[in-house]
Amino acid sequence: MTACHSAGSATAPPETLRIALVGSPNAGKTSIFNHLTGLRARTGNYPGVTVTRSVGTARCPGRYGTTTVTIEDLPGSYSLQPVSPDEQVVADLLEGALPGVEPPDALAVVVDVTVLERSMALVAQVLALGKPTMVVLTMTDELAARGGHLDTERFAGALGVPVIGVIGSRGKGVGPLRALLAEPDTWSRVAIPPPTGDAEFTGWVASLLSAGRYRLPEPDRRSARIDRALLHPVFGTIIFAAVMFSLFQVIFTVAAPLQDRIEQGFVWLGDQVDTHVPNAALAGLLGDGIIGGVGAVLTFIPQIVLMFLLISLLENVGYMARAAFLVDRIMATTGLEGRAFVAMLSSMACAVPGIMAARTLPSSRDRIATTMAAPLMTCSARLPVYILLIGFLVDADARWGPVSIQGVAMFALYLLGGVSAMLTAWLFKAVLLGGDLRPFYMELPPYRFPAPKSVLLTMWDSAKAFLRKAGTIILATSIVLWLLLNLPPRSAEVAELDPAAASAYVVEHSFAAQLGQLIEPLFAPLGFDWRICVGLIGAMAAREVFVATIGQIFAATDPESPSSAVQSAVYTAGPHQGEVLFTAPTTVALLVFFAYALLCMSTVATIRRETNSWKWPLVAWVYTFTLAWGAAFLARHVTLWLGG
Amino acid sequence: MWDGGPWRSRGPATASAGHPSLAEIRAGAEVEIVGVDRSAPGPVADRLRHLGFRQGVRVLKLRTAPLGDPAVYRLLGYDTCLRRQEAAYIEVAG
Repeated sequence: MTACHSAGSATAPPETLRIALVGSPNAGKTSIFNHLTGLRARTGNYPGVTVTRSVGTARCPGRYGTTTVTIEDLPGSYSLQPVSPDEQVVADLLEGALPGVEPPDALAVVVDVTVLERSMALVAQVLALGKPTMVVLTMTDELAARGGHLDTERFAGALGVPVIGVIGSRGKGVGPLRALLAEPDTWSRVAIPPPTGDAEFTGWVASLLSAGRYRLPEPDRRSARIDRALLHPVFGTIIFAAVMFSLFQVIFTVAAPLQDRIEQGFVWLGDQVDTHVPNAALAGLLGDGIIGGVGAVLTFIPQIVLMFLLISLLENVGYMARAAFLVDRIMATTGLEGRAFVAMLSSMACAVPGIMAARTLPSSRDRIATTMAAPLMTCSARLPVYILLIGFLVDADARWGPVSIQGVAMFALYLLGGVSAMLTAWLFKAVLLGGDLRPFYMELPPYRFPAPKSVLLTMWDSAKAFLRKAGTIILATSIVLWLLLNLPPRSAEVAELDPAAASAYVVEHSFAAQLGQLIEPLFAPLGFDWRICVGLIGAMAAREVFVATIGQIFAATDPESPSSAVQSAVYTAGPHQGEVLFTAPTTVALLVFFAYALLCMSTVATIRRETNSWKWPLVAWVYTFTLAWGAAFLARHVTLWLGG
Repeated sequence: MWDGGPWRSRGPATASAGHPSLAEIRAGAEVEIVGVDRSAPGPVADRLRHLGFRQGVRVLKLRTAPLGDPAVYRLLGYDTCLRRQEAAYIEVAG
């Protein structure tokens, strides 16, 4: 069958039928979408914007055999009148004004039947578009359980378009829905659009509800009871802190052993290559460069998958909205809203899943501001660097009473990251991007058991999206960095040296060393010599690589804990020749530089993936670099002045 | 039922024409919406209407967040939260 309802010429090639799902957040739209399309869904972005686009295909049995229908899951919305750039995308798409995206041939409005009266405003706006329209009612089981009622047939008769009841969590009613989606040309249409004036509209809704013998369900008692505890000023706050702490802990600690496993697996693979490939240079490239790079990409997967498992569970249960409600006042000081809290918090484990978590924010300006601020949060990759450098500054046994001074220094760095991130979010949201008119509102849905299928698909989608775009960039960066640090090959020169001296020789004569010497003048005011610059280049793969690279270049016998060899290192040339390199001012400057600089190319790749442009990663890189250099310079001179 | 007071006094704008705004009533009070303040920006007023905050709809203020903002409202069978800034546009009567 051909189903091109647009005013195209008769000679246009038959297209697949396109149907868009419209509905408010929490209406169960995504659950319906998942049932219809399963793993045949693709997520990406609408052209040029950060709004996530989900498209899939559904196989629908119709009169002329099975039709493949393209289903588009539009971003959740309470209204089609746009007040933010994200909603503008939806409005443009429905009108066919979005370049490169075909407008849908028909629309299915997904409505949570327990809030039917509220949802009629959206139904009315969709009907006014004049396209073939149907209504999918979800949560019909919940309506009955809470003593509500709707006669679907009578309601459909009064409304004038097909209406079908579905239980999204169990997939009940999806079969008849498929059959209906195959043939929108048979759907009954409304003769005149619904009234828009307040009084007429209220009358229209009342007449429809009474025609369908609608009885409002009782308020959910269980949810009310749970809310009394979870939103309690004291207990609610304690539970909130406990939930957020556990979420953070899981990403931080449960993911770590899994990441170690993956790393070990790839190290083993690399060793296999080393022993079986006779050519040393080729073995190095294959074993360390390429296999190591793939490993670097895959180590992010446990964090991302766990993060989205937890977010999606909390979201589906209904707690995420409560958490956002509790913390909204604090986030409002930065111009963001409560839902940004989770993204900020998880950035303390790693900015990559943190930035991906910003997807859950409904406003694209909020997403950008959160994305720009997230890299400043103190992520776990900074920890080894901080531990090394703080060790140079403060003796491990130094105490103020019972308090370890190393611990205080570490806390101060976490605080510096957190406060700077909040200020950055404020700067971007309130000053640079400008607030949009979108008022803050957030539905607090009843607590529900999460649908396993939706949770699993969310995890699958996030991992897939990360691997597809960010993964390739990270892999390429890792390989380039490996080449920089290990080329040109020096197998002849290092043949007689012991391993530590050999690897130091290779790095000292590598392209990275030349690059380090090239950029040394830029970092000289901060007290960094070319070897620290090489460490910074290494840190672009991941910040903790700084420790190993520095260890290698200073010929530490154990590159994983290089402190003594590095601490005693001196300038080898220039006016400071023979002086200790890691003086207090230089170490403080380096700490501050690490707190601010967006060295991590995986984060850059993720910002590229999530914002769908090179503009924002570039902005992030430039502003963090400028900030890092300035703050490090300031910190160095304050320390110099304090030290007399 | 809403008993006429005490109104919270630390709201932003007080709604016009002698009607209190949704931001001012205390938690636990149930009121009927009289209208949306004319000073509200057009798109905001439209969005509030589409969320169900329109004339004649009954609203129950369930609770205020521990830090004083936002608050949860129950209307048309669902719960949603609004910040004081937007709630102050909605004029209500007991």
